[in-house]
Amino acid sequence: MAALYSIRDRRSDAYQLVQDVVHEEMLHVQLASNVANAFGLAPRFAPPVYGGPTVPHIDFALDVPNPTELYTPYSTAIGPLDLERVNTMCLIEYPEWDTDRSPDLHEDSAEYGSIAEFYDAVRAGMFELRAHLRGGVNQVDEFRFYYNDFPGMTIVHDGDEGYREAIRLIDLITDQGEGQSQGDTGVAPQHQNTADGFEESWSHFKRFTVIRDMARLPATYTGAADPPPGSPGRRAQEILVADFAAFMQTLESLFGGDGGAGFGVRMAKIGGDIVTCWRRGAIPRFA
Amino acid sequence: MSVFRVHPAIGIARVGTSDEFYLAPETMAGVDGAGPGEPAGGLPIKAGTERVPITSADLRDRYGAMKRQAARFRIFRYPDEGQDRYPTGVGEEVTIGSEVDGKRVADVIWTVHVANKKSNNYWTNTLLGVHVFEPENASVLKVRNPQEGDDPDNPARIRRLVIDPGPRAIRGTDEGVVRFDKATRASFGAPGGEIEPVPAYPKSFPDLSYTGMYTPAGNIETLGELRTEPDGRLLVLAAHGIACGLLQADGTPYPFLGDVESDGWFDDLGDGPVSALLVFEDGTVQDVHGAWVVSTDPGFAPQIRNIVTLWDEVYDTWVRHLDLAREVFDGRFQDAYRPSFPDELQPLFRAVSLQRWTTNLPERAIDAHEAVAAIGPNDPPDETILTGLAYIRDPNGDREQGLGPPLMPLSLGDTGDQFLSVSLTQYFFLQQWDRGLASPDPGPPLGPGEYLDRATMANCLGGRFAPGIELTFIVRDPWIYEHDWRAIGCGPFRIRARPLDYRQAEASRPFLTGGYVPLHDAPHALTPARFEPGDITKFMAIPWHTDYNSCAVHPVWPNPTNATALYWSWPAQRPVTVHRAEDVRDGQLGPWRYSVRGPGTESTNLADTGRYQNMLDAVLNWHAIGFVIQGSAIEGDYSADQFLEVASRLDAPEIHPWPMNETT
Repeated sequence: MAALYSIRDRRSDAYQLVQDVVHEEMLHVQLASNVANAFGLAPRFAPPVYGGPTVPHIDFALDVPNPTELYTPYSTAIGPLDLERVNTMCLIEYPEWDTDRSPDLHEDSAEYGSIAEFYDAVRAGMFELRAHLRGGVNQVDEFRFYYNDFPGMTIVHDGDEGYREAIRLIDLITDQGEGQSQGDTGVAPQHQNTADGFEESWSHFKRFTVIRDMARLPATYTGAADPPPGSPGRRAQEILVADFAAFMQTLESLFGGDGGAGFGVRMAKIGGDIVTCWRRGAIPRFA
Repeated sequence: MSVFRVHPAIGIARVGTSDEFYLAPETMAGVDGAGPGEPAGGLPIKAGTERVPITSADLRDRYGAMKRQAARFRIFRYPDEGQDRYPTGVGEEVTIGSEVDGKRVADVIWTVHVANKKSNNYWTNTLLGVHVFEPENASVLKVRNPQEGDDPDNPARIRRLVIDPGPRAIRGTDEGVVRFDKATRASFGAPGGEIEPVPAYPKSFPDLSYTGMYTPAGNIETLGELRTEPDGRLLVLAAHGIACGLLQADGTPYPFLGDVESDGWFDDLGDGPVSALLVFEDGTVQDVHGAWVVSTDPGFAPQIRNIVTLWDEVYDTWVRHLDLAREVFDGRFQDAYRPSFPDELQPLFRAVSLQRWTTNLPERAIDAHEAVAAIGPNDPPDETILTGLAYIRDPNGDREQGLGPPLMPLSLGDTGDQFLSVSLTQYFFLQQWDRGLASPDPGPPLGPGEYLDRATMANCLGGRFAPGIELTFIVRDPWIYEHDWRAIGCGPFRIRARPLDYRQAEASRPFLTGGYVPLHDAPHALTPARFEPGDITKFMAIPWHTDYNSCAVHPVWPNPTNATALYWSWPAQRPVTVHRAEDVRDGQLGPWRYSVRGPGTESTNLADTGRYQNMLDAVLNWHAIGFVIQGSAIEGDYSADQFLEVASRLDAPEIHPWPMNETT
């Protein structure tokens, strides 16, 4: 979102491409939370701390070839849409090479070489634990009318049938995200937004590689990471930090079965806060 | 010396099937009531009262027929000094018995001339909009009813295609009704203070020129009527919403060609000048700067304010092109201007939250819209949901009209624009507010007549002029208004009327001409022709019923990607989905239902639902549609926080929230 709202021209393809990623990632939060709830977990959201060359949870060195050799320089620090940020997005959405072998299963998620491999491992775990799956537990269905061709975004059954429903949700996440196999296959029609998408057949990985290959990245706002206390930029950051913390609580409420009162308002407010940070000369700060 | 003006400058009458009526609202939709317990603005007024708002019991007569809405006109006196500024903040009403400059008013003679020129006008161009009238597009400019020739100034064509009952005059002291029909004698208020008949006036109605009309809803017998209130105010009533067609050579009626255009069809809307003479007890007569009346569709959701109102459009034109407010715009928008939050921002914010009552917005979006309405005059913008204007479509240049959600408004745009944008002046006010430069205080006070001007237009549709409901894209043409209002003394927003000398009327030739054409010089003149009766409504759909019916939801247009997502056309003016009052249980809303529903409206394609599939059904059943009004105005126990449908003669199934797609 920070990179999206740093783009000055909302008509630009880059803006439209990243905006759809933002929307779809919100869907993915819902779907992953629905799966977690079905397995008896309670999703928790804490404001993350970003920065430096490390992408949390994924060790790219485990992947061969190591994609960081291609997508460099990169940084997970919050910033405008520039090459570092685009490379980071490519890394995060880097597809798994299709080797037709079982995933390596690790206790520590940081030991996976890509997010795709991580999801393979999740699938394996879901299969093993499918007997424990319970349908109808704190399921959230905010986006169903945006996906008319998708059969259902919640898990309503127990056991094997619920497992198949859950796998459908993971399939949607991975198909929209890193794409299938080597990232050169379009997002399946049933996984495409039927309401307000842009280039809906493109996975996130493809979107970011397209942006990366643009002759020129779009003009963006710039800002200071630490504006002086009392400055408009610092004030905008403080408002964003407070609103983002409230938004995290709203997410927990939403996926904890409490309805998520204020979700629509807080979600929209975060976007406005980020825009205001950029316009006030500050890099958005979330924590 | 005093200056006298009729207000509102543009009055709106609305059709109905009943002979009974109520009065047009004189408060603004989207604005709180005047006091505790008062309904929000926009409600029409009970006939025979100064300002008592109607209730749900007043919408139909005892037989269930839909009442008409009368446009009420009043005369205001202004001091001679200071009439070159706006607003003046002054003005006092003049009625029979008023003493003015030492003389007592004995009577008022009103003259009104409405006509319907729709069938003699040009086709709407769905891609070019007003640009179709530019000389370089002459090859695609197409007249309606080419079977009658291709020259709208041809007298024979005018005679057959223009509905023109001629002028009618009425005294303020009259207790009767003066109709715009074939039987009533044409007349006008003569300068000497008498009503002068025009027996030779060449009236024209379709059935006077054509035999064997197709009249499924009846024949067009009138374009409305005049009445006066005991104090001399004028009431202009619309007609009865009838559309009728011609028969083709094979005896079948002309088909409906589309939502907006149907050659061979007529309706009974109209528009024209309203003038007045004050007659004093000493026999002297005072001329009054006149106004204009437009008759149009019913106001099915009178309190639901449009995001872009007709006022926003007209004010934007006057600010940017006619030097109305140099503190706002003087060659460019002025950075030092501090828009008034209560007057220039809050009504827009309230309009945002009101859209939920006529659309199927999802719950989260409703919450967000209500957060916009909750913004107060002293709230720091950065702490509100609109901070950064992150979700407002920027209307500047050819920029963002093609960008859909999450940018707002979530409505379709003008011809050629995929999505609606706020006006440039509205956006400037929003920008100033976002910069912390709005004033929490009201703006300069309006005089009571000036308030009537603004309120009347604020209750009408702006924005998506494709072509619209009451008025259309011509309101953006500075040439339709009196430019010299400061010198003339007529005040702003007056239509540039052609002087009509009724003593020149001859039975053998039409009195009216082809009239105003946008971007075209008038014959022997350097500017477009001055306005005649019928020159405003002629740009609207023919018949209006089919356009109203259609304009529920559509995909964007142009649509280069064949997107199927559907968006609203005129949700505040043409309710798409509603909550019925009778579905409310213990204060809880019932399901959404289409406003236009029931037999003949069903479709498996969501792009076609909520409307009649056969356009003839719209012509026949429009008056069965219900009205959306505030709960506190509904008979029974309803919340003032809810705006619910009442008085519908239709019933129907439930529907799911937006988004939705057409079937391809």
